[in-house]
Amino acid sequence: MSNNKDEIDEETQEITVEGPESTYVKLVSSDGHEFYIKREHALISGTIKAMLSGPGAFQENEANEVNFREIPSHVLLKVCHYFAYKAKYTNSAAEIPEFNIEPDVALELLMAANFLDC
Amino acid sequence: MKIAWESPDWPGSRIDPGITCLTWMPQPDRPGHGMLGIGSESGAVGVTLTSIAPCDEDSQRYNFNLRGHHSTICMATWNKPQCKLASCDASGVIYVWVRNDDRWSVELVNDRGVKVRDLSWSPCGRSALICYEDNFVLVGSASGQRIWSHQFPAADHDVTCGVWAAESREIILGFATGSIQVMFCDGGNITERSLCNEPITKLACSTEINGKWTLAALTERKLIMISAYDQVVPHTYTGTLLIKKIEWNSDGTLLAAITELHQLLIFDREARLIHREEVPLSKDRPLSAFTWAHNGKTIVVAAGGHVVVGKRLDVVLEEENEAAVSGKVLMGVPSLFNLVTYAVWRELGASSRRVDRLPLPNREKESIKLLDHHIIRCRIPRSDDLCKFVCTVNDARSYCTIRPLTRGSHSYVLCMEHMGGLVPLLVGRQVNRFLPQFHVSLHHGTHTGSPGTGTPPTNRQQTTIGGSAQVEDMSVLPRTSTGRNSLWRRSKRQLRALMSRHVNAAVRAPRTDSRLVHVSSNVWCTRFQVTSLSPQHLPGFLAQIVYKTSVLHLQPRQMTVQLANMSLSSKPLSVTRRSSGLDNSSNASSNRNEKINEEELNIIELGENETEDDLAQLLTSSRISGENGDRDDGLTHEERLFFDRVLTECASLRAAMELAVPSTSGCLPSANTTTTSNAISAGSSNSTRAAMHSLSPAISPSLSHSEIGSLATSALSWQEEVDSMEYIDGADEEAALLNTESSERSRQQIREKGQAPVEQRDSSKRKSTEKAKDNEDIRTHLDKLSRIAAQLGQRQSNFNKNRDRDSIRKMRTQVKELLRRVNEIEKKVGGADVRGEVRDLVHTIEEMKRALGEGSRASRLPQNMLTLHNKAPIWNETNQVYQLDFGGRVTQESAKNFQIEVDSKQVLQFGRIEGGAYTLDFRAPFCAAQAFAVALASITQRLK
Repeated sequence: MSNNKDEIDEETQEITVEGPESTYVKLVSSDGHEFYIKREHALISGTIKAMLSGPGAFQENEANEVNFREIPSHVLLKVCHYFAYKAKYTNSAAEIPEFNIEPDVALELLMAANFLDC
Repeated sequence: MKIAWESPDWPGSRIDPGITCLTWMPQPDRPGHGMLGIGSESGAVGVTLTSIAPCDEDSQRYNFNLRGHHSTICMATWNKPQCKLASCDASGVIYVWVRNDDRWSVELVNDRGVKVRDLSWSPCGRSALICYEDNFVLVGSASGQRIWSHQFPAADHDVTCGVWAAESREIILGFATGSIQVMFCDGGNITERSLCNEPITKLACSTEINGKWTLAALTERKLIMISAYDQVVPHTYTGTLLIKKIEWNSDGTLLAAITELHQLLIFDREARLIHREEVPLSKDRPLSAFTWAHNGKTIVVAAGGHVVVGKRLDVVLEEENEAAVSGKVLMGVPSLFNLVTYAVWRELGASSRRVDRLPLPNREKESIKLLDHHIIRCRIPRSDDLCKFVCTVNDARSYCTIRPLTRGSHSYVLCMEHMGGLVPLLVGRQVNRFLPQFHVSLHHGTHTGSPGTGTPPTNRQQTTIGGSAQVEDMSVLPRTSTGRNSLWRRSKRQLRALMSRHVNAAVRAPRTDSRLVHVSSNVWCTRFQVTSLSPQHLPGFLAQIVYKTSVLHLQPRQMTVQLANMSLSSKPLSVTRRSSGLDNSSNASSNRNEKINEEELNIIELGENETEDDLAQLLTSSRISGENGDRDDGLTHEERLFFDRVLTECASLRAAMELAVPSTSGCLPSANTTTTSNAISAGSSNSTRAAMHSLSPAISPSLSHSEIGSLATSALSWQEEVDSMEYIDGADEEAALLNTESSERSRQQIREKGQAPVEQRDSSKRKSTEKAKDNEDIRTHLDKLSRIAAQLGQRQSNFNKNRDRDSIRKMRTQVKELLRRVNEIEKKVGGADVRGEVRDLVHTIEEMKRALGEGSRASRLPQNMLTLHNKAPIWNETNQVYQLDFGGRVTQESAKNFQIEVDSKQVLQFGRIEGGAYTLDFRAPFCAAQAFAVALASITQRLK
């Protein structure tokens, strides 16, 4: 699995992360790591979708940035991997590889997945 | 596509023998529930209920094992619209099963005498297509009429398979040449085309959705799909593995296939492989059957007798709106939450047992626990719970089969019916070669893995495999040999078992004696006792079965079952409960006549038996007498019975003496009678005593009768009798340890008083040369004993527990001493008449001992008893047979078949089927151990 294309670094200047029509959004983990991922990928999570579009979430809506005070970076990384995995293989006619989950992040990931509704 | 496999190690996952085919349909009236049709190697057809989500325990019947076929089932298929199941066996016989209320019965039989290659219902359910091995193709209606048939030319044009097209109007036949032919169901030819140049082995047509359907044709290594008959380029998949079976899911979007090497493949409608997975089943046997279930959300796969269920994680597992599902492509990626939940559950060892130790919120824990659910419903206990299961009563009826351990053996295995096969629970081994005596124990191989220690699944798997291999021995039904029981494999298994034992030695619970129940009978096989060998699981006395014999089988068997009521704690049953003891005082005397005879025989020949009965009865009796409240005179009901019993014994012995004495010496009968009356009047003059007094004359003739009998049949030496008594005495010692005070109390007092006679007997030994004096002595002792007995009631109050406990051992040795001396007297006297008396005396002492210890079995059964009778069969005048409705569960007529009803509700039925096997269905108030014991009694009961 090498779907790190979502974690952009050098291309940041070309990509819009402002405004409601931005193509990318920023996810911030509890330990301060920032993850830039495609908006459509982020919307796989029901919670992020609600945060970015809901009327009560004005701040996130403007900044296209979501802060997770309870999700550490190693878990959020795995979540981002999953977004890419899901986006790539949904309705794919190819054989879908296994999404590997390391036992040491499993419990935190389970709680994060529940929170993120994905 | 992601499949979450249910734990492959659940109680219903292994059956015997193997499964040959699987087919599923939804229950029409219950969304989320379905019926799994199973074909078995034994020829049985199973219908087992499934449920996608956990549902409440009810007393519904989950499984039907349908018997009728005589060879291995090779095809089974549902007629979904009409809810019928067609099954076809290896010899070409087709049965159509239909459900009526709570039973399945044969609606149609089709036997052309030719083997069948393929069988398929039309999707509309109105007709069926049958392809025979001789290239005869038949289309018949569901009601059994022939619609159309055609004999194809032989050899080069072999019809290998046939299937209905999606809209039920056409049939598609596959040929050995690699071509297919499409025909109207009335025989008109539509089109013919070649798909490949190898034989087509199987055709499968998907359902039609939005006017689209797909036909899949299978050859040895190729899978070919077309979506129109004139499609120019068919989609083809060429694999390396041999594909064995294919099946479309319910909406026709995915085709699953099982292959050699335990692979499960999933294809889309264009023959693209989209998922590949190894099925987690034991590798002993290849994959033999599979089916989609619950609208494509789950898949059931079998390898021989091992079954596993996979659930698709990428679809929502709740039953949803069909319209929403159709058209939407379901395949995809499961939610992260489902993926991680499954991963965590796997990490926990495919069980949520330890989930509560995880630092997780409740919703996560609950979703992990949901993965423990098995969609195939069964009530088979886990191996850890087996013991508890067979010892407790259940309101849900259990459907079981009893089969001989090996062909023709007199040991039997009680198996739960499940998915067309059997899961062994209990073994009843015959322990006496001449009499029907059985020890019932838990089945082997269910003793693996200690609970709660988290034995790795691999170990458990190995041991269970060992268990199922053992089952192979027991198989009474034909099955292909797989060489699994070769000496080499057996020893390998043993070695493995040894190793795993040593590896797990630290965590393994010590292997306990798994014997649970003892079944014994008298020599006539008219009365069976069922007692416990495992006091921590079952009460001592479990059941007694009395058969009323009929000459020459002219009347149906009548049986009375007295059953220890095990369901008291849960809910009281409105059944006449036997109030122990004197409830039958009116017919006591007539009863006694029989009982004495029988008991004597038992004492002589069934020494061992007796002791165990004694022990068991003591256990229950003591428990019950402990519960009994004190009466006004300070005696419990049980104690009063003891004393009554003692009194009667004395009286009857005296009567016997009176008969014997005049022949030897002219005694004073008048004095005798006065002492009798004295002795009895010395007792408290309550009404029961009086009743017993009046009974005593009736008893005496019977005693004298038995005396004559015993003299006549004195083939057994005197010494033997004493031996057996010694043995009983030994058992008494054991019993005394387990006994509670009430019964101990009375016995101690008797024994205490017994000291005096011992001394006198000593003196009588000295005078042994004079027969008359001996008789006098014996009579004196008798008087003493009776007086003692009479006084017991009064002595009750000044009973000192501690002191008596100390002296009990002493007293026991004194009783033994007494026996020894009586024996010596007998030797010295030598005279026949005296011998008879001494024998009588010994008997009496013995009887008294029993009376004191636990009373006679006849008069003292524990109080929580249900008395049940078998249902009288109806005489069928036209067929000249007795009949009972067994609901199709019994296939052979036999005098052994019976049913028992409680409150006009059937609670137990037992009957014969083929192969020396029997079916046994039971529910509360019978627990499995009791029901099996009653069945064993019925199996071995010989009418005389």
